[in-house]
Amino acid sequence: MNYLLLDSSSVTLNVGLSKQGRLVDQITYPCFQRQSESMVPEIKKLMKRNKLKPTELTGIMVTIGPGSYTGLRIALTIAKVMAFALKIPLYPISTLKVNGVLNAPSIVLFNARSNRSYIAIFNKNKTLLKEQALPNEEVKKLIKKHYHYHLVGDLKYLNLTGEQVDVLANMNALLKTVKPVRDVNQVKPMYLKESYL
Amino acid sequence: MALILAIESSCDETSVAVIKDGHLLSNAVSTQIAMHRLYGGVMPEIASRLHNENITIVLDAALKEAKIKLTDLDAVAVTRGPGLIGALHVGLQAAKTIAMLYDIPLIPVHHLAAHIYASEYVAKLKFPLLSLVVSGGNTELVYMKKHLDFKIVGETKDDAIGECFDKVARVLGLPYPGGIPIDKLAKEGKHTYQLPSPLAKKGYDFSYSGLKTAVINLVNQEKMKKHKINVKDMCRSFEDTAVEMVIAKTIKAAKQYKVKQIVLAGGVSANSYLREEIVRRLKASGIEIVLPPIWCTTDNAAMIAKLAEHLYQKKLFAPLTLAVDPNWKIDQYKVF
Amino acid sequence: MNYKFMSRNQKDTLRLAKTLAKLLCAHDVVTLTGDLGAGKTTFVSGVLHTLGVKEDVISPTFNILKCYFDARVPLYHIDAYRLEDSNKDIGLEEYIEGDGIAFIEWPNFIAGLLKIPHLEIDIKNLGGTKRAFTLKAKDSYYQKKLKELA
Repeated sequence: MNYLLLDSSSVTLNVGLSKQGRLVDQITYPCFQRQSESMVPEIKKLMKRNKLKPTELTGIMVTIGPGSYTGLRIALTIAKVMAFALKIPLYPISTLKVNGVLNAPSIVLFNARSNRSYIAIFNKNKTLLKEQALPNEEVKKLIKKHYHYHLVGDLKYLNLTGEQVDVLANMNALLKTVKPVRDVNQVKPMYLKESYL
Repeated sequence: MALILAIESSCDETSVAVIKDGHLLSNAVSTQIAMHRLYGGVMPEIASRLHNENITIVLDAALKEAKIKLTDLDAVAVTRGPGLIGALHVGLQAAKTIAMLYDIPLIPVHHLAAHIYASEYVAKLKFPLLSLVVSGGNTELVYMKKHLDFKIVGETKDDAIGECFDKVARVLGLPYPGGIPIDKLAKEGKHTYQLPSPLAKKGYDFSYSGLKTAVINLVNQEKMKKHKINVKDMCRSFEDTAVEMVIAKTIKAAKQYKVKQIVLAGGVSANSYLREEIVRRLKASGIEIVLPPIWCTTDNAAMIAKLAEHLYQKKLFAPLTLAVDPNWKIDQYKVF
Repeated sequence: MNYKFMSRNQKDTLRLAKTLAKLLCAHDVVTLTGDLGAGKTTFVSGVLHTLGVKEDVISPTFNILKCYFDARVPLYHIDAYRLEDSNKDIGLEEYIEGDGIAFIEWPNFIAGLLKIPHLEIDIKNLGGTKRAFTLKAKDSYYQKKLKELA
């Protein structure tokens, strides 16, 4: 059982290989706005050094946002085309979910710009606040309310310090909780913002 | 006898085509025009979202129609630019993924050059030739001494002709894209509104922002005077003026460069008045006019496939680190 | 804080553009208002060329967003003219609050995205080649830049 794990929904490029439930290899580095150039070659590199042929893949796990619109479409397009070509299922998962601290209550935040944040609150397997875009004033109130929760994300824009997590390790751990999707056209990204007024 | 898959997603049309030895086996196009009509023109973010939604559907349709499998391919070609950055990204990722999975060459194709080569579906290109490339985002005169040799002899300094059509259509309350309704209504109108002939810029460069401003000012003035605009006459007057500029410069350049052929290319080359006028004006000149088939004037992957065949012969292949270039210039088609 | 500049012709306009360009850096946002034909794109063109862009800077009305990557920092030229009746999410924030310098024409059509500090430039067509420039900064960061301009 070989799974490719892909994420490009924020500033990092994440490509991982999960074999029999273990994260056996990964490529992770900051790659803001350059994932379009590097993601496919890094996937090729990762598979080659693990002597894995595309036809030996069981499925592809990919983050579907919320996050950078351009970024999340990079990994998602690659994942959809691979799944279509190889006739294997996709395992779509929310970007915020894989950025939480697993097995502990966490508030996960991303800069949604225009004084808003993408936010979700998780506690182990439960979603306490589902993924949404909220004005930063409300977000700050939620942070105060849940001061004992882990606060995760790049929070410079809020003048706060957030924890960092190992995204690929989280993706690997959460893989078994995600339902496979066989029709790639059913996978829709989470953009979340409808109007900005 | 190469089997090539081509992908086009530079603007508001997601398209995949399959070509083998000059024969087009399939050309699947998913148009987003209806979606963008609501906004009076293409919306880049919406275009990118729709490309992402449609890419595998269109890919599937193209393969089925051509009755081939991805494993049969010899190469994959994709529009690298120019175009909308987010839209280009989707096509590029799809192409790179296919190139990676099947270990086949990746061919980067210039969108405007492909528009020129689209005419190879109906005629043989004869050199030296001059191509008038007219679309929503581009207005260029390109001189070709031989195959794959492009020299820009004139280009737009401000608004492109297609953009001008779209803006004027919007001001007149007509739908997007503006070329079609303006062309239709112009047939029933008379040239009664005086519009300034765009200032001659250096050489063969084009300038449409003055004409656009003139129409807008005129419409506003008439509104203030509570006069009703005769839309058909305005369409006729505008179309005459807009088309006259490109035709005059094209004819002048064609004579200076002593070309054998003039090839019309791009979305605006579907404009019936432009097509008729250019043929009529050059009837006695001995220069052959090549008009692309209407189905090929809009963005589509068939034209990408056509040019890709030439590039495949020349082994113009890109590494998997290929990036898009939304501003890619035609004379730089080999640089990526 | 306001800074006024009287431009007699295109040469004057380009001089102002050149001077302003040297004061801009990554993450800056500049909005331009003025009627059709006032010369917003001409001004932006002057700034972009000073910053290192080699090609012609043409109107982004059709594309809404044009990106230039051959300068020191990414440069984003946005024209919100076609967004007049729309408030749907169009993904421009990533460019306005992104890693480069953003120039926005017709900012009033995307006012919701511009509640952040930015430099405002208004251009009035006085007839012929004469233009009146008014540069406004409500934020201390941009006020400092205006002081250097004067």
